[in-house]
Amino acid sequence: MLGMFLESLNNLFSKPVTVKYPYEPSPEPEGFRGVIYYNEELCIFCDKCENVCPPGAIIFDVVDIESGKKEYNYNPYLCIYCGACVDVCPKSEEGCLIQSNERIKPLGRELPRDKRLGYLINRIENPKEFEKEWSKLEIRAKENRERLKEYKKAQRAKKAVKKE
Amino acid sequence: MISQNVEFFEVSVDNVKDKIKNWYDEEKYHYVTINAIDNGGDVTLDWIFFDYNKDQWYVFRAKNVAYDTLIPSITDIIPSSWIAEWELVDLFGLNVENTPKGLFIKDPNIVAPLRKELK
Amino acid sequence: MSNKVVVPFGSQHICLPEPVSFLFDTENEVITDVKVDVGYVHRGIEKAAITKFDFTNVSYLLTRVCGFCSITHASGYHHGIEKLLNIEVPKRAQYLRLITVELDRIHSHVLANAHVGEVVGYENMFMQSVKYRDDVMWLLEAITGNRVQYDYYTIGGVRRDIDNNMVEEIKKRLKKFKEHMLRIKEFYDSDYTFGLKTKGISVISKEMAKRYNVVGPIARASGLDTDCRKEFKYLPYDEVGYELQLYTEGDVWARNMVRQDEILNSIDMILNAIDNLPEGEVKVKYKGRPKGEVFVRVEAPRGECFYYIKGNGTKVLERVRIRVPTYSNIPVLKELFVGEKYSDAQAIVLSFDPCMSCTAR
Repeated sequence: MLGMFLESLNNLFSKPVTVKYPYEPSPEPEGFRGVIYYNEELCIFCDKCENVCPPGAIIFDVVDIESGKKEYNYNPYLCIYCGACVDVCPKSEEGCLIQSNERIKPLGRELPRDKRLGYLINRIENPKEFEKEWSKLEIRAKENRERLKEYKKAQRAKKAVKKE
Repeated sequence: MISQNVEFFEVSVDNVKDKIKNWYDEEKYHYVTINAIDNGGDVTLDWIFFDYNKDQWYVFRAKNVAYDTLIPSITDIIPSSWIAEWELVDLFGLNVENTPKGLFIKDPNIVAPLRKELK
Repeated sequence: MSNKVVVPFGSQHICLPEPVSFLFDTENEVITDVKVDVGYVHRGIEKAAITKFDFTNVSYLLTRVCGFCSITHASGYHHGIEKLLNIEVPKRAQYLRLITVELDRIHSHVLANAHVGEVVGYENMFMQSVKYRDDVMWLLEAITGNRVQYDYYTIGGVRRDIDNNMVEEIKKRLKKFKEHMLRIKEFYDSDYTFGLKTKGISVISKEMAKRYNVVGPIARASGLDTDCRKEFKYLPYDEVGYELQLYTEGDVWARNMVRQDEILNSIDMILNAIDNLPEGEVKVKYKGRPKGEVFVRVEAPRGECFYYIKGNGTKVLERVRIRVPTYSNIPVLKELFVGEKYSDAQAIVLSFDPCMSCTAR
């Protein structure tokens, strides 16, 4: 009992151990798992990152059915920052999909504006409507994929008829 | 890699209690749990044990048990099995003697969520 | 005249880390009967693992069953799937897995012991232990990238490698940490008021432990020598110097001392493993889909954790069954309360180290 008493007296006169965040900065260590950034020019649109994401935070939306052009959308408030998409992407060493060590602010008065975060988050003005827009995007993307499948089936049937 | 030394005993629901009573020894064998697997129309039940002195699993397996058979309870041989039997009643909708309902699921409208027919 | 009162040790309580509810029938402050209710945190994890996820990304779901012992669930699943797919993991990856598992065990045991001290009235011990525990959390963040849910395991090895700077840093911090732990062990051992509140309370004898199939540090504090690291060889524990810690008293004090001895043994094992790290790669590629069934048991900080996995050749698994150590220890807890005073109830519950979000997954 005496030993603990002496140690407490010692602690009374020494510096505190805690970091006074947010008045002092608390830097992230190297290798911290942060936000995912995307580069559109290197992407080959293979859909592997969308299939492996556990909560479904990456959605590719088909905007033009005839040419098959896709747009990348990312939800940083649903993401769990596991890094599975970076592991599975075939072009990740050249820099198509990277995991930085930055954090983004929680959903509050304004949304982050960065071209590397996808299309949907840069188009919305009011942060209170973000979740509703995301649910509408999920339904829309599913319908567009069904239409793309039927369009491709119709093209293949036409080609088969032409050959005969 | 891990090893897999498993010894399977084929039983049916009627004679599983006598077989376990004659075989089980407190000093040598360690009770693990009771497990159920859903096959579409019926259930496969497993009583799983392990050995304290060597690397060997013992599994008592009863195949094709219908959903409303009366399953005997082994609480008088192994006193700590009441919690596994309570979970079978709650999540699979089976019928074990002397066991109430309502450990995990408190809403009376949801019945047997772990069966395959419920998505 | 005797007073019969029903007292709830309810689901929300100031000293419980997770919700569990007991209803005590007391008579003159001595407990006569108990009713237990677990299952407040049921989230349907076993059903989600067989409908919404493939076998490649179901480990991200299973890791998040619990916060303290998150790496045990990952290791149980991965050892099973690697047996079904017939993959041989390289030696360097096995040593790195062992280092992370033992670091996880250290931080969980420090927090459990500090919690018992706080509830008994010794709040100073809680503050000192948590101050020293922060070193271990810094090490985990530097190796894996996160302080709590580390997604470090993958099928065929681990995800990241460590370099020489990290090895020097681990050695320096662990040596300082060992001196602090030796001093804290002396405080637990020799303090007079702590001993009054914890010695001789809720004793489990060796016959009772065998009859109720108790697992974990609770069994080792009663004289029953059972440990998954000795019986089921899943990682190279006999090459780094593992020893089993055994006490025979069986009360709350003995369970604390078993955990404290395990911390010191884990520190020695990590220092041995770091000195003899073999060279090689940390991940191998694999092909195919799982088919068949497998039974696994691994050692969590709280006891023995059992996994059963069944696959049928497609991408989605057919059945995943998890049985956690607290699930096995709840029936003993129900028998121990009868005959004790009501004011000792919180020390008994916390010395069992309950993890309710694992139990009612």
